Amino acid sequence: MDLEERVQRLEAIEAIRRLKIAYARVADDGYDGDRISAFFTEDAVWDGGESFGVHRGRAAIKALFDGIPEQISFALHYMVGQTIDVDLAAGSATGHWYLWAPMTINNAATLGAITYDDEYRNVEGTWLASRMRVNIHFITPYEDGWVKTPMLPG
Amino acid sequence: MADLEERVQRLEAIEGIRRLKIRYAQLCDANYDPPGLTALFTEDAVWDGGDLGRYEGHDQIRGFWEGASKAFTFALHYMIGHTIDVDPPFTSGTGHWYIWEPATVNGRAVFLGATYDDVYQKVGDNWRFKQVNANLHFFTPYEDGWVKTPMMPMD
Amino acid sequence: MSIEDRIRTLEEIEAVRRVLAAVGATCDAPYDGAAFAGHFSEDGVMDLMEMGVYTGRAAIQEFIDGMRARVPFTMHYWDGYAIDIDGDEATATWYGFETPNLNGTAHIGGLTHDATLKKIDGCWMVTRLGQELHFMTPYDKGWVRQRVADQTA
Repeated sequence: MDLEERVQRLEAIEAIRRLKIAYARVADDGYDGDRISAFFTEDAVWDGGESFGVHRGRAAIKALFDGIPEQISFALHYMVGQTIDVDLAAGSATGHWYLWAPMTINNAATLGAITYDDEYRNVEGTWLASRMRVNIHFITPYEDGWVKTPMLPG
Repeated sequence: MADLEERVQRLEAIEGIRRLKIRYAQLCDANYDPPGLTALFTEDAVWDGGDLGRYEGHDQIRGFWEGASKAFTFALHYMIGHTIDVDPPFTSGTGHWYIWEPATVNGRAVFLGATYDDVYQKVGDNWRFKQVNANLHFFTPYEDGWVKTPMMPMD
Repeated sequence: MSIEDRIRTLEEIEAVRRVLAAVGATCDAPYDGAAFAGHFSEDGVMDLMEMGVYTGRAAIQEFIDGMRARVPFTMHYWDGYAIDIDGDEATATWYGFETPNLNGTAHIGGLTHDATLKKIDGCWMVTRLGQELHFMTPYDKGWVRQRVADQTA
C-alpha cells in the first residue's frame, strides 16, 4: 500500500468512529427517525434479532426509531471499544462495538448490555451503515440485575 | 483534497487530543491530583459543570480539584465514545465525549452519567483544555438509580 | 520524523488498539483460553496481582479456561486506551468495566489495565498484561459496602 492508501485507511477508521458516535448521540437526543436513518444506506438492515426484529431499508429504520421514545424516555448510549476493519478497494468495512446503556424504559431505570456487528459502505465519499446486527446480552431492571432478570419481559 | 501532510496532521491532532482526555481521566482517578490536572488547562481556561459550578483560570480550577479530591474518595472515569473536530492549522479543536463514572462521594457509592463539550488549544507541542463543559445526565446513589434520584445533592 | 514514520506510528496505535480489543473479546463468556493466550508472546506474563501471576502461553491458557468453567457470563467493556509506540515495542494503559455472574450472583467490576507489547513477525504480541482491581462487588451491594467479593480473591 502506498502512503496515500495508508492514510485513507486511517481516515476511514476515524470516519466510521464518528458515524457510530453520531448514531449514539441522535439516539440519546430522542431517537429522531429522520436523522438516525440518514446514517444508513438506502438498502440497510437493522437486525435486532428476536427481541427487536429485522428492519429493512431507510423507511423501515426511520419508523422503528420514531416509535422508540414511547417506551424509552431516556438513554445514554456508551459506545465502547470498537474493532474496525476497512477494505478500501471494495469501499466497505466491518465494525464490532460494545454498548453499555443506562436507560429509562416505561419509567423504570434499566441497564442494557449489547454488542453490535456492523457493516459499512462508502457511498460517494461518505461512510454509512449498511447493516447493524444488535446482539442483546441483557436488558435488566436496575433493581434486579442481569442474573436475576437477564431480559425484560415484553 | 488536502495534501498528505495536512491529512496526517489531522489524524495526529485527533490522537493527541484523545491522549489529553485520557490523561485527565487518569489524574482524576489518582485522587484528582490538583496540580497535575490544572497543568492540563490553559491559563485562561474555564471548567463549567453547570450545577457543579464554573471555574475560570488556574487558581479557581485548582481550587475545584482540591475540593473534588476531598468529596470524591474513589472514582473511575471511563472516557468513552467521542467526536473530535480539528481544522488547519491544527492548533485548536473541539470534542464531545461520553463519560461513565462509578464513584464514592462523601462515603456513598454513586453512578454518574455525563457528556463533555470541550475546546482544546495547542500550547507548544502539547494539547491543553481551553474549555470543559460537563453536562450531567444523572448523578445517582447506587441504591436508587436515575429514575428515583436523578440528581443527588452534593452535600 | 518522516511522513512515512508518522503514518506508521498512527497505524501501529490502531493496530495495538485492535489487538487489545481482540484480547478483551476472548474473555467475554465463553472464555476462549487458546485464543486469549494466542495473543501473548511465548514467554508472555499475565500479572493479575491478587489473582496470581501466570507465565507462558500454557499457564495463561489454563487460567482463562478455568474462568470459562467458573464464570458462565461476563462482558469486558474496555476503552480509554493510551498507547505509546517505540519502534517494535509498545506500552498501553486502559480502563475495564465487567459484568460477571459469579456463583450465581451478578457482580460489577471496575479495573485498570496495562500492557507491554512487541511486534514479532509482523504481529503485535502481548509480552506482559497487568491489572489493578478497583472493585468487584456483588451487584446488590456496591463498592462502598463490599469493595471486592470474597470469591474473586
